[in-house]
Amino acid sequence: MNQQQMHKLLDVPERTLRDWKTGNRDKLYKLLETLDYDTAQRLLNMNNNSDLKKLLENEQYYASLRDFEKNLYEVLVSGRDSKVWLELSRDTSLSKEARTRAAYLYSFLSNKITQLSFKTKVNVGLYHGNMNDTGNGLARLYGLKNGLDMARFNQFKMTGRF
Amino acid sequence: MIATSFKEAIIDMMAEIAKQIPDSHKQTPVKAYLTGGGAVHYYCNSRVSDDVDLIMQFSVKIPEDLFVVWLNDEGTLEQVHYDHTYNSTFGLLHEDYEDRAVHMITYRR
Repeated sequence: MNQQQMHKLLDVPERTLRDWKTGNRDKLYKLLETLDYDTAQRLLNMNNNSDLKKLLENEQYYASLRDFEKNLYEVLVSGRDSKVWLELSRDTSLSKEARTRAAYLYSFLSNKITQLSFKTKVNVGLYHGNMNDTGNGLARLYGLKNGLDMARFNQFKMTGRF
Repeated sequence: MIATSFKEAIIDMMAEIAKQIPDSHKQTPVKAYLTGGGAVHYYCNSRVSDDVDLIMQFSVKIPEDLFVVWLNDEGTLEQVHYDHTYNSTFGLLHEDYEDRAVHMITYRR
């Protein structure tokens, strides 16, 4: 990133950035300089769960399974800490459907089980438009009708598209 | 309740398969014979595979991605998958396997 991009991304005055460059924060400046602008932006977004909430509350944001899967698979392979899904499964500001999906994704990524604080069975799929019952035992564990399509997810992992 | 052993997971799998059979088709009991790694596990408690090989007398429509999960001693989830590719044609089977099979469970819905 150049100084202008750092200023744009971090909202730090250019004069301060120049001080960092020459002062005792030169390592921080070097770190920022090494990062690509898009990568830095993506890393910053990882600290904000709004994109994950959008995936979990997918009834409100997605009209096609393909768009949903494209965003979800990118998040799943991004290296983000799986604990974030655990936190979201406990977030009472989210709907029960979203919390159930978060619990499923936490178990999918970590192979660990979590207990939801409610017993109501949600009658939804991982994606709201997919209401097909499948043999996915992990999805059923949390009362979801279906989970990830592993064939498509594996294809995405291997090729970056599906 | 989630299964806490490979054995329980196999029984859960049987229950899931039983659910796939419509009530109107249940004229007589549908027998399923567990073979392969699952059967070996019942005899010597060792794990030789993570899938379930079954011989069934009737054709049962089983979901393509059928698997069940169970919780091991370390608190980690494991999966047991139904092996759709298994058939009894190639492997060696005792000629009296149907008569000498050991009863595991009867599942009634």
